[in-house]
Amino acid sequence: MNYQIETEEEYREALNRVLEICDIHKTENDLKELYVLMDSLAKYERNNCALN
Amino acid sequence: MPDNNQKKLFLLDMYALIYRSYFAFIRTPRFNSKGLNTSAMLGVTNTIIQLLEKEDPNFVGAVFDVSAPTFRHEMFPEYKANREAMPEDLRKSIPYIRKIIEGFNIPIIEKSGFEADDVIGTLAKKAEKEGFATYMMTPDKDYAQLVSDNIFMFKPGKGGGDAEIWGLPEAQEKFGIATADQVIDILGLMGDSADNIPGCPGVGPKSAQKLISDFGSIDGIYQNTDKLKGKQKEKLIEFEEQVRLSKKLATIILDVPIEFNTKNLTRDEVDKESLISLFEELEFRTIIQRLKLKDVPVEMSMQGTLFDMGTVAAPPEESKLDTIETVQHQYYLVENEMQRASLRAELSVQKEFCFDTETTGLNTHLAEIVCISFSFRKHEAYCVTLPADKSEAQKIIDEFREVFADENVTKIGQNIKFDILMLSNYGIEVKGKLYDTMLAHYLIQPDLKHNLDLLCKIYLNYEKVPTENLIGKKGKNQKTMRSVPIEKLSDYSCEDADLTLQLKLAIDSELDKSNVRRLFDEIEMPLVQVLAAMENAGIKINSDELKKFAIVLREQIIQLEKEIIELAGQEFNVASPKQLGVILFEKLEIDSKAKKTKSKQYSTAEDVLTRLVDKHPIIQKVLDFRGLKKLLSTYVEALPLLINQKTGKIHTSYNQAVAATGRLSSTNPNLQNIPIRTENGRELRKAFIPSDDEHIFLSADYSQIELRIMAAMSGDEEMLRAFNEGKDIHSITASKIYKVHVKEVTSEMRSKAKTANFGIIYGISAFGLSQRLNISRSEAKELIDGYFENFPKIKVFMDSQIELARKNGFVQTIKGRKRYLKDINSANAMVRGMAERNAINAPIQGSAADIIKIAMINIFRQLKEQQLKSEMVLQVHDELNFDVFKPELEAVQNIVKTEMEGAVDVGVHLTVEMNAAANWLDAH
Repeated sequence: MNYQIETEEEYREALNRVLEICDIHKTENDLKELYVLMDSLAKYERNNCALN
Repeated sequence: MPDNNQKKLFLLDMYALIYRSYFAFIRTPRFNSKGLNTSAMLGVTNTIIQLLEKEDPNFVGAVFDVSAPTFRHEMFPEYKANREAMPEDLRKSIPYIRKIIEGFNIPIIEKSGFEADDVIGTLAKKAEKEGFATYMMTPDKDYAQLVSDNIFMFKPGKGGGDAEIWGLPEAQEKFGIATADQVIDILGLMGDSADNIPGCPGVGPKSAQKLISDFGSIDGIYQNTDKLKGKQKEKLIEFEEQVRLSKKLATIILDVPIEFNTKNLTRDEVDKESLISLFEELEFRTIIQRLKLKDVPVEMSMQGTLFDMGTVAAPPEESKLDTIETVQHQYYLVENEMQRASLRAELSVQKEFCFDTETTGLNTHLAEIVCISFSFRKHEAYCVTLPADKSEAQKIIDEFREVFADENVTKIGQNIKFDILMLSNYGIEVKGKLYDTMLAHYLIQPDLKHNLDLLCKIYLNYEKVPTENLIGKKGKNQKTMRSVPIEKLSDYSCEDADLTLQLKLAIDSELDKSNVRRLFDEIEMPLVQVLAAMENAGIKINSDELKKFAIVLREQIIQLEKEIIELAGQEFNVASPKQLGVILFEKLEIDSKAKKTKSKQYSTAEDVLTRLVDKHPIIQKVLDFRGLKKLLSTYVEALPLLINQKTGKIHTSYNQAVAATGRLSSTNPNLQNIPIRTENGRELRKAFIPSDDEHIFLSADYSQIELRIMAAMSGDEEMLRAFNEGKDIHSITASKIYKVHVKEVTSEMRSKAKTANFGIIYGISAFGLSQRLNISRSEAKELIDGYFENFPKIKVFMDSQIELARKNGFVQTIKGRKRYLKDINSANAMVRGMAERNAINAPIQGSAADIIKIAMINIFRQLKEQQLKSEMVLQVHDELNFDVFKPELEAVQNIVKTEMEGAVDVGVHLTVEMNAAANWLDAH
């Protein structure tokens, strides 16, 4: 699992996926995916947004 | 080669050696008992020992790069810009390594504005003029440009093997050159991806060699461009400036302003005190012994050492560990009735004993016990052998029934659930207090591995007999324990029991030091019996339902395959990533920047395709195709194969010491990962059914447990009140942040509040919130500020978790389970950010795990006490499932609800939703 978020569209998609996972009973894979997504979102924000 | 009387100078390219050491252990990193990664320190220490013992250089210097821009960065800002940040573990190793070098009294050399290779090159050339033979100790091929009759590359051997020494002849052979400085021309042409030196596009090592062989140098090439041909000519002309720049970047400079003075390169006496202190902290006990830094037992000091000028190469750390050969022990084979009676008498008067079973396999529902070993004194153990004949074996095991059933004797084991399950196959119940060394270590160091081999090395400085020595490597040719000669088996089995007992004695006080004793005694150990019972109970699968479902899935897969081929416009094997890559990226040209894998084929990995999902309709279909194939192979086709012929059920195996969060995981099959977000994933649950017509499937799960735990841990009164009054938390949140009455909360407001609630737990930023909610960043910030104004303790909780993690290095759950966050003080903001998010989330996830584990223990106890036939059969994170005997449904529902909701009084009402039906899907 290695999400590379490069565009705003991908960012939004990742965000939607995060909130989708938040709202369910998470399997181990869901939890792993959630952490990877959050890290990828933070990386994108760091590289692209002044406000963090 | 230099003559033997020539003075030797060794210059160590430290960062290259450090990286090499770190990555040499990357698959099996070394940690001390405090969780510090010691791979790089161990590798560098062994390299130094090997160098000093084998080469005994007169003069030596450890050259470090200085973390400041060099003239190369000024020349080319992208120089080394592609390099990944140094791994956090490795960054922490550097101060230790500097201290180790200082302890060995080896001079450290560094020069700001220059790289280590420039310093080494300059010193080597100066030393040559002074009559020295210089060895540049490095794995970096670029140094080949410096070799001469008196300057050599000294490439350390892998795994303690012999070093490779390159002089001019070796460099000529490797690079196909006539003179050493032609190495620079080759590097200038081919570039160096490690340093981001571009070179000439299209010119690789072979064509670079050919060009230099034909024209002598880069200058020679450009003086003869008329002799070049085709694309190569075009590229070389187009990129001339880049090639010349690359050559400059690859050139090791030889005029660094640094003095060559032998006084600054002379090693002194080893500083024993500081090395002892360092190696004790790093737990390099055998190195302390090897270097005779302390008084050591005679048998440990037989090998030549650095200080008595021995010539034996430094072996890896493990080879100096104690073994069955070096430690006095009394291991007894117990073969007859008299001996067994005597052993039983001994066991019956112990307060605690350790036991271990050797079996014919690892599947507890199919394997047989070959022998049982017991230990109650260090270095002493007894092995009771069992014959292959089941009834004979049963008779012998029955002799130990009372021993295992004695409530007053603590039973110690490593992964004791396995042994309990094995004994249960013979009708033997293990009662009384349990002590599992694997679980003790799991609580002390949750991020490390917990196998007996590793724990013995860390805590006992002992290497146990590898299982492979008895039955060979894993695989179809592996033998079973039944085929091992009895004496050998007895020694092996006794050693396991003895070491587990010793480990318990060594590790036990760590439970108090880490403050996890209660967690161990009150949750993890009582849970062992619960999990063993659940595994034994198993769960019934409707194979017919799965067969029907498989047909449906196969039809869907075939249909998708057709649609994909139609969209592709040609026949191809959709399941072949290679063929799919060609279709997606060459035929359909979906992504002009498509990346290729090491095997030169396009990557069609899930994350790659997910990013491209909006580019072409074929992508979603491929993802669906793969999802269905996986569901089919992992569960729908695999589950029936796992049905136990005797019980007609599947018996998953729970792992209690795998997930650092404290959650359980399961294998064979992994029932914790059945997808629940897709219709097909949910459909799979239909195949999980009650054991017979007299039973019904009951499923119970916690509602919004994460938010409730956050409310409880923060103590935020507003949030606690909302939960305790049974209100809808998202509506209450919306009413607070939008300052409207709860009745006036619109569905849009509620949805935004829900996003905020979840976002807070997982650390979504104001930017993320603004994007998700389609509002401006300032509005998002106001929303977050409003959230924290209304729930002020949530903010305090979040900040305090990060603060606690920074101060202590770990965070804790409500029951004291620790999660170590080694990156919390990282200088890298990105890495630190991940640790900070974990500092908030890990206690919430871990506390949820604590709560459900307590509920499981209490429910199990109640079912037993009330002598109910119903059984708990499955745990999936926040959810418990039961095979309920229909007449007991109401009683079981009451127990489950009471024990789940009342598992822990955290100050917030835990709500459980439950339902009973004819299968898992309908019950959920």
